Amino acid sequence: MTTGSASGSPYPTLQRGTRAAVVARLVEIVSLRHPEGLAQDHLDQVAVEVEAQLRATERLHRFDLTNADEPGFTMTGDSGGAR
Amino acid sequence: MNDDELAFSSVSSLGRMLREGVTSPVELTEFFLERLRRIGEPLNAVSMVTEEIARREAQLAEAELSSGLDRGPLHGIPYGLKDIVSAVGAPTTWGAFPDQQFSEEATVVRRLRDAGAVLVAKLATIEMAGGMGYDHPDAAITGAPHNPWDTTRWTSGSSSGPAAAVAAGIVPFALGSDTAGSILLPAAVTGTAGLRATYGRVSRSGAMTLCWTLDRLGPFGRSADDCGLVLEAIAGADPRDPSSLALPYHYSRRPTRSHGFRIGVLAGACDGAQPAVAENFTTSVEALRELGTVEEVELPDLPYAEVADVIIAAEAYAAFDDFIAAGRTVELTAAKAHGHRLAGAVLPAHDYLRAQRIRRVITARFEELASGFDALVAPSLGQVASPVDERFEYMVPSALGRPLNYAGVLAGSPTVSVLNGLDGDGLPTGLQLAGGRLQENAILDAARALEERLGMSRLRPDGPRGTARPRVEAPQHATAGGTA
Repeated sequence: MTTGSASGSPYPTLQRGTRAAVVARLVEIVSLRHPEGLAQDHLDQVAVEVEAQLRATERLHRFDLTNADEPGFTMTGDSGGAR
Repeated sequence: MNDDELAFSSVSSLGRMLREGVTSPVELTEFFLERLRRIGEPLNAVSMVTEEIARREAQLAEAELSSGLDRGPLHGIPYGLKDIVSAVGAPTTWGAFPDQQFSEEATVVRRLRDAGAVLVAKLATIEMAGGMGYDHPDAAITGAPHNPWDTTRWTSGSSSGPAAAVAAGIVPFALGSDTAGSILLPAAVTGTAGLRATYGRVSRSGAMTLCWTLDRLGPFGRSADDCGLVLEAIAGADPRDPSSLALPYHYSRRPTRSHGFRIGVLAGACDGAQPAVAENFTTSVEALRELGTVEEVELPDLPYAEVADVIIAAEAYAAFDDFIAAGRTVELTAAKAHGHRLAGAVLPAHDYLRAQRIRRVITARFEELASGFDALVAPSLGQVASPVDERFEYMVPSALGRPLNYAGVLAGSPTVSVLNGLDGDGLPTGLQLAGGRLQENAILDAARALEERLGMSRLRPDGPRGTARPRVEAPQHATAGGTA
């Protein structure tokens, strides 16, 4: 596999029903992390964003990377920190 | 010289006037303070006029210049600061919190003071630089900044105030910030020049953090030349910002090159753009052909928007996790902001890292492409300024010049936007010139040559309120076409 080639990624493609279920679960998790409670319109907004996030990350998983491809920042020994 | 000509003078012209005794730093400062009150505040461009700071710095500049101490091209020149950057002695509201103050001053403010510039105003910003999400122009404690070219239009965001202020001639230059287009897009719709320099050129210390690996500070000016002069003053290593580059930056002051440029025009750059944007872009490309070689190029088909969105989602959530955990997003004006960033809580770390890994590939591919040219060009935005009272939608596409914007955002490379014409209603259009990392002088040289060829520096809004028209007859190609 080479970087950026046409993908044979096994990363799952979510079908509509499955995607809706995943979104609902993730929104529920967000809600649980806010024990003060979130208004329904906030939760609706969260659902929109979670779905967009799922689509974006799925697209990223269609882009092939090699095992060694590093992130846009890298730890360096000489500077004592990340670059 | 009348007041209007003074208000719209370039930094270098103002510098000449100061040294020839035509005006003084104190006179110039009082002149712009009056314009800030009379024109800037009704435009909602101003967060705070910093009169006390301005008068103190102007008096110092006046004393220094008259005693022969010359700190360079910005000495005695007033400027404005996007209100996410801290200046001691004034609130730093982030567009959302009127009483917020910081005791530590931003590095860029100190550098501009060292260069003799005079801080006259904190300028409007979308709340938290848009970092929590927004979809309407008045998501700011100032209200929506009105576009000086037509006050029924907006100035785009999130550097709404700096763009409005420079376009209205109420400050000669301003500093804004850019995470994913917040200098480029406001510059495009206000007919100003906006420069997003190489990532790390300018210290962000003292500015609100939205996204560590994408945030940049940069100048708005009347021209590419103004932007270069300001960049030279604010660039350089800063131990308070570990991302800052150790390399010095020296702006090329040689006379404008008039030939020999190598320009890459993005294939399909105008697809879906408004007719006036496309027409003015075509005219600009013709002008560029007279300055060198022009070659059509393909930007690699990579997931630019997805990578940027995922990186910002993760980093913005992390930068504001306490704020979000405290449920404070509901304090913000934009309804979208109440829930928008909460989705970051369920974004897996491996997906963020995947985005950053692809970003490295994007950077390499972009550098490979950009290395063959002085500049890659496309419309800065596919449309003119949108109505100030309507929700907006910039997420449509390739039509909007966003792939080149996003490529530059992710590659950390420099991009400058300059005015390249007006539509039939007198609204500005912009052209972006993007280069390889550290190649600011190449894109600024090309931008200056294009500006000179097009003669756009003579165009300006007609007045502080009401529909604007160009003050002088625009070159024929600049006003042709247009829908608005």
